Amino acid sequence: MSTLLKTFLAFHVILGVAGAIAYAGVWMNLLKQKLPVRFLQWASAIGFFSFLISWVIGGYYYAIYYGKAVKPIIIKGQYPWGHSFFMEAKEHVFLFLPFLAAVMFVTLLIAGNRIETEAPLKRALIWLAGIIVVLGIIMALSGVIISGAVR
Amino acid sequence: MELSNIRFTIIRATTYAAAFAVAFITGITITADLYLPLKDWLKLTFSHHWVGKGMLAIVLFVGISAILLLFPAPKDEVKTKALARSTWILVIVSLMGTISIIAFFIYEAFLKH
Amino acid sequence: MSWQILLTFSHIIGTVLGVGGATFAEFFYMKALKDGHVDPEEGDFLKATYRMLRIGMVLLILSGFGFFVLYRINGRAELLYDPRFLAKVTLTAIIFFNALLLQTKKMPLWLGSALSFTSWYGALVLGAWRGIDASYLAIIAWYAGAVLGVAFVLHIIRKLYLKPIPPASP
Repeated sequence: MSTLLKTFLAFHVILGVAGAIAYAGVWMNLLKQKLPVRFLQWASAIGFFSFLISWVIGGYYYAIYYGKAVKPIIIKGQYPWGHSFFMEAKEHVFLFLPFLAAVMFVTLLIAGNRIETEAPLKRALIWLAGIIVVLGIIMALSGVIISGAVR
Repeated sequence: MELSNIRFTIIRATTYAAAFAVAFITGITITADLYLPLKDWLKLTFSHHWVGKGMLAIVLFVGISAILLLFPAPKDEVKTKALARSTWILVIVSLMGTISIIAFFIYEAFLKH
Repeated sequence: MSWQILLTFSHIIGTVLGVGGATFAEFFYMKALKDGHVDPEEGDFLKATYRMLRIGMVLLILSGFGFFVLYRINGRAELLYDPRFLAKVTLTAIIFFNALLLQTKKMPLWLGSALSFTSWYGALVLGAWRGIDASYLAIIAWYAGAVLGVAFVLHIIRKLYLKPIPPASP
């Protein structure tokens, strides 16, 4: 693996995890009675852009290197399901995240001050934040399983 | 103070567009694995099937957002309730999409052969 | 300074803040409840403690995934299936979801504080105990037993420390 690809892989992982952490902050703080709107806006912005960059650089690694250099090792190894299930599911479910994050970011940016007093909208956004976090965790853990199968 | 029309329209447009994008990703993921000519077309057009799915999802998201921006809020609609509704639709579509993709690849990886 | 050393520092600092934060959170909360309610000043101490706990958690998770990347890049992928590593990841997930459930008051305090305490100290023990020779399920079984044990001990401590407040004299 070239230095560029190692760097891309590292940043894909760290930024993906950072995005999940940022949205964990959004989720926890949306549950409060009094909403820290500025924090929510910043956290969702950090989360959204982290996911975006993670998508692009992870996608580069995946399209250019993974298919020809890593996938064959996993398929032939002890844990072929590392690719046939975990990677296949991960690479497609991951595509949801930037769109979900975009909605959360736009909503908090534009209507952040309104959410505290609008219980139905707040409840829906709590669920949306929860899905983003849970999907982020699933992505991260899937990545661990996939990488662990490369031997 | 009620949310302004333009703010409401932007949020609603992006939310429904995201729901469409998520549904599209789910649909094309399963379809392309079952109907290989589609996967081949994606690979031929975009150099990689996964890149193609992502790019088409982005185009769909931007396109649908733009179209929905042309439809302002009805005057009598309670805007925050409408946004709650669109967010719930996105939540449900995302959950169904995730379950569908996971179930599909469980079938492909463990049950098919 | 190598990445390994930087990640180790960050991981240790995260653990210190997290374990220390969990310990002091329990201590301050019990102290605050001694008179039956949490004063604003006591509330501020608790908020500061929880903030340190969260910072510790963030450092721990980021450095933990940094280790994951390091193992992957250096061809040590087998470490990612190590039972100790997987158990630490599990405990970290429990810490997060436990905090969420406590915040939404869907977790009873006796269980939530035991889970928090045991998970943080459990992660510390797993990190320090290099030679541990146990399967993932065995580690989790021990952890579950430890949670119940800690819950019992905390219950006894609360019973002894939080004596009932006598009724006000007429």
